[in-house]
Amino acid sequence: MIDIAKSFPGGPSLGFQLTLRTAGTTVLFGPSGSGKTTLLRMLAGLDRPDRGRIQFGSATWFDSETGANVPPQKRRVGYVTQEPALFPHLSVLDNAGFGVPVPDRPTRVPKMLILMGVADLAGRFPHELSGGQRQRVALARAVAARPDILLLDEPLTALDATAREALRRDLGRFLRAVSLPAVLVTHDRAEALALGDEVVLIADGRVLQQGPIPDVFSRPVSLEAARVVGIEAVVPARITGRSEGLVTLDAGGVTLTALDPGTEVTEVFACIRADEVILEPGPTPTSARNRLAATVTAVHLESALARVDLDCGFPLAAFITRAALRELALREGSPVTAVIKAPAVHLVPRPGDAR
Amino acid sequence: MDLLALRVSLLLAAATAACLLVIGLPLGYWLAFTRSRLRAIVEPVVALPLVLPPTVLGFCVLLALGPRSPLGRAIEQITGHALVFTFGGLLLASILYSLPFAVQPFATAFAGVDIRLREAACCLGASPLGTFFRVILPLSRRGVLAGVILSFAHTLGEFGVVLMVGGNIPGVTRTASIAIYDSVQALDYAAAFRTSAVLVGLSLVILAVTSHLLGGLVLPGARRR
Repeated sequence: MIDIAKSFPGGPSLGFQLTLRTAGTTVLFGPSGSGKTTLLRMLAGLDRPDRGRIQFGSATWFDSETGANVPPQKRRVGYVTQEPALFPHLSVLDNAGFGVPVPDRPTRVPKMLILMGVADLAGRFPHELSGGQRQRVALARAVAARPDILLLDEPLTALDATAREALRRDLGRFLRAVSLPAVLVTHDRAEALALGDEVVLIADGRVLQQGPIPDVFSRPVSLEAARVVGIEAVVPARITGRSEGLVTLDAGGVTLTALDPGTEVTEVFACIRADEVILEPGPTPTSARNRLAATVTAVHLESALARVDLDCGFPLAAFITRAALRELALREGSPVTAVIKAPAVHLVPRPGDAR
Repeated sequence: MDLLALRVSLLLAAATAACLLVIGLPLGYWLAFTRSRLRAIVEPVVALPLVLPPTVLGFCVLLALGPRSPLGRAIEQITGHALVFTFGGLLLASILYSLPFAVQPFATAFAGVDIRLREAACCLGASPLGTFFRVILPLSRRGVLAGVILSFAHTLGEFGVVLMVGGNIPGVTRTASIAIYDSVQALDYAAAFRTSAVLVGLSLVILAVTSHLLGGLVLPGARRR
């Protein structure tokens, strides 16, 4: 349970009120400068809120009324930053064992290194590792100390695309293997979708919305929330076939075609941006690829564009010009055909996927 | 060559460096990380010997430890003898005189340790003391070594403070620099030359070793790895 406020002299003021789940991964999602990192640092005890209360289970970590402020050492948090802060004078093995009592190191530390796929680097020093390897060691080090909660501050952001992809996959497996509650700060949709169970949308130092990831990303409650997540449909789907670089998806009874992401996953989120959905009038030829029969559920006017909410077996949104809106004569309940090019269907692996 | 005086000098330098290691580590840590307002007072006091003429410092210590000061009388009552004109008094004065040569490199090295490493150690459960010995000190070893060697070398060469506080008792407070001064006064240039030569050689060896350990003197770390 968190209810805290902090302001910076001459800068933004933050006020967060939220309750985090005690299991699974909660994603703090929002643009840069929205206060995500500060919130995480206040949770870790590295920054002090001006006022408010942080309650973790039965323990009070911070309470400005009573003056209680548990130091980071006593909070038992595993804190991993964007730039992995490995101790440069210690080997990988000693880094990973830093927070582990000496007698327990031989049993606990190698296990964590194996789990993060860096066991063969145990004797190396941080300057001999790649960015991805360093972050893996930092994660192993945080978990080896047996924290009660993991706080991950954009752990993948500083990595190149290949390393990020690989670590994202392994991090998901790792989080499930260690079954620790985790809070993940990110501004990357794919990361949030692949790793999170629940999401907290944050902008300008405030919580906009909280809930299960597909719900929040598909149905933002406010225009502000929609801006933060981007207007994009997020649909759970399963890959049912592959051919000629394309995959066939079953998205809740609707068949979609997308480019083959190349990995061995079958359970995915199909993400479709509203500005990549084209609307055509009239009935839908049943066999056509990515031509979906849809019903208009709502029409919102936004400056030069109109946002049309559709039901095509799953919720979908489309941006069209006002002129197109008039030509199509769309209103609530109108039948329409939604056309999506295969490359516009972005696939993100789902955390529930058993590989 | 005055071997007895050289022995006193080396002993004094080693004892001063050892004491400054013990005093300088906590003091350097405090100066590097404190947010207390006292720092604005303590920092200049520590740095004072850098600018003060050694004779002034020596004179102050002489007055403070002398039989007419309350401090001097208290020490005499507890230990049974006065500190002035003894090795102990000389050591105390040397510690004050070389304080900035140890504390400043220590504090600079401690403050140079990445704050993220200190935070990481905190979050991994290390106490402030544990963080100091397991993270800050190992990463500051070059600065600490530099401070110890500088205070050793600085004490080896001191003259004015010794003259004021130590007097000139052979085997007790008569150091190499005093011996050289005496030799020159007595027009025994040969003796002065021999003792000087030993000091020059010793200083060069110390600086060479330091340079090797620190990877350079002018730009520490420039030759690292």
